[in-house]
Amino acid sequence: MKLFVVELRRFASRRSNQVLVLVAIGFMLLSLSGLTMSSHSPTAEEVSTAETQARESREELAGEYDECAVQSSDPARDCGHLTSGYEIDASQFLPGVVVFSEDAADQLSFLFVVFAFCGLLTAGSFIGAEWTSGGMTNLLLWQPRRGKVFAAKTGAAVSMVSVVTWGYTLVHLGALWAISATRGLVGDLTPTWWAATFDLAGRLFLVVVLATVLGVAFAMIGRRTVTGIAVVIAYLILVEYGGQLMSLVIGASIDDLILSTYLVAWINDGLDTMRPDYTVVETTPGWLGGLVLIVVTAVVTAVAAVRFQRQDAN
Amino acid sequence: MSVTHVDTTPPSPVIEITGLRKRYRSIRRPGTTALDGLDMVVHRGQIHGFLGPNGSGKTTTLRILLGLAAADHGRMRVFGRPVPQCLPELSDRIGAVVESPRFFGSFTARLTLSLLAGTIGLPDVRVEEVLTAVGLRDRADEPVKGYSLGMRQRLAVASALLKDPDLLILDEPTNGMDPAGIREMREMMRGLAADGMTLLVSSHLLSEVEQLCDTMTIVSRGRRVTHGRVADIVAAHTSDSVTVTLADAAEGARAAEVLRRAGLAISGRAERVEVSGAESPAAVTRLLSDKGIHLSGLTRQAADLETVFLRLTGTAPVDGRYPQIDHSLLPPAARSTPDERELTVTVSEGAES
Repeated sequence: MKLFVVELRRFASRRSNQVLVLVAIGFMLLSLSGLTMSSHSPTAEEVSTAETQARESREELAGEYDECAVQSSDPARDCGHLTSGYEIDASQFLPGVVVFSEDAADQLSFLFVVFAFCGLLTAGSFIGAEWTSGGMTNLLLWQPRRGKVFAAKTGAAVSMVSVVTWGYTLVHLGALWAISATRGLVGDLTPTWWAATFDLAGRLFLVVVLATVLGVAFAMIGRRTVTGIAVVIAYLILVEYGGQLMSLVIGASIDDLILSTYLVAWINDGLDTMRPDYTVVETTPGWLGGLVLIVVTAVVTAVAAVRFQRQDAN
Repeated sequence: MSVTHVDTTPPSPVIEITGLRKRYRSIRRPGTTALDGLDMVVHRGQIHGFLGPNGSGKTTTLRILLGLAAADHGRMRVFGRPVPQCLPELSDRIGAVVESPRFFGSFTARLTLSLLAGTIGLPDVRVEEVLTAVGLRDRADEPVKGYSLGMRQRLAVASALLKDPDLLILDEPTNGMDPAGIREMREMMRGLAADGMTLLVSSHLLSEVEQLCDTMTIVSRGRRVTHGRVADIVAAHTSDSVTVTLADAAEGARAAEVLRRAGLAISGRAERVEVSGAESPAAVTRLLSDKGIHLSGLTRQAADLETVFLRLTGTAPVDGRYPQIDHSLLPPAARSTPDERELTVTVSEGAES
């Protein structure tokens, strides 16, 4: 516990982390100021027009669904994507108006994706700088149990990133609600909305945690701050981008082999993907996406822990 | 009549290293043998010098002893207990500075020490004590990146003292320090040893070692060359020769003849003659003055630690050529054999008593 508290202090004392938090606060102030200035309370006429447009869109999509269903032997499979049209409501037709019930999920997703990236970066920097500055060697003279050191540093990085992520997000969404209440629309915050929002936040938070753990693990393996970022960039170029190009050449889908499939499946609680012949829809369930992400992170972390345990500290 | 029994048993060893071997392997380059069966013993309350040419395995030994690197073979005990197995239980009793001092640049000295102290729950007052002891108290709130090498060295020593350890291991503790700092460090180490602390000091400042250390181990190419009391080792390599300087250079040939007839070995020419084999310097003086040859000087050829070190490690320049790294003297193979595969490092429990 003492070591964990020390690592929390060490993480919080790092200037780069403090600067990052200040930059994030600056970004929040700027973005919220922009939203405040660009939003306005809709007039009754704007609301009426939006409701009309929403109703027309719903009717149009319903017609498309009916047409599709007549021609299909399995409407649920072939026409399912058209059912999303029924979620259309008037708030989507109010340009220049902040609608909390509509915008919160997008803001939440954006913030958590940014924090996942920051988690990877700051955790990598936290560990990499310890190696390059000699701090790790100094620490091991005080605490020779390397497993304990690894756990304390990982725990501290995850804890601090989590606190900042939730703290920032709650303040940001609170401010968004205040803007929507005063210069926009709050919208319908139904129990379904709250459940869906909490579900999304939970899924995104797991991504933030896993990214932070990966940042620690990669930096432990490479003993450099940039290792995590370098691995992610190399993976994106070689596997995600290169793999997609290769799949076009060989005419076979590689969706099952790339992490982005499982990442999106986890965040969206399921992902429908089509084979190259566009005939069969494959569904990757959300739980499988999460499981794959957790297993990959666990394997990388285990490799890092074993290397840290066995290799000489320089 | 009372009888006083004097305990003549040597103090219990704090560090015992036997047959330590370490080879650094590389895929791209041939491997390097850093330690080749090294033996070393450090007893309680001693200041033990650990000397050797660059690349002779000193730092590797200290790193293995402290659990930062793994040995291939050998046994180590600290306070009587095997290490690295028991290192977690012993780490609170061992303070160490290994290699050049490196710290996180944007942290202050106070924060750096406070974080280390926090790992074992030491109070902040202890941080202030060691900052004062190493002379950094007034600069403790500056980022370490602005520190000179000597100041970083002081900070490193402060971090090693923080635990108030029973065993202090210092690798080049005065590196980069100014003369006053070196003197302060020497006096501090003496004081710590006087209080019962055991110190293992690796240094290239041989004059410092000669002044400071009770015992020493000299290593070359991963093997022990010699060990024992500093004074004994130096004395063992001090010859009985004297250098005679004549008042009149023209008397050189006659003086040489007188000394040779007396059965003494001589070398040198003109007014400076080196004489060995004499019973004492006074005997040489008497011999020459009896023949009316007057001296202007007579110097005993006492070896210093530097001379002994260069001779024992084979690193003295010869004919203007300087020995290269890893070309120092290769001592005879250590006693332990490669079959001793058990690795045990001990800091002896008896040292507590």
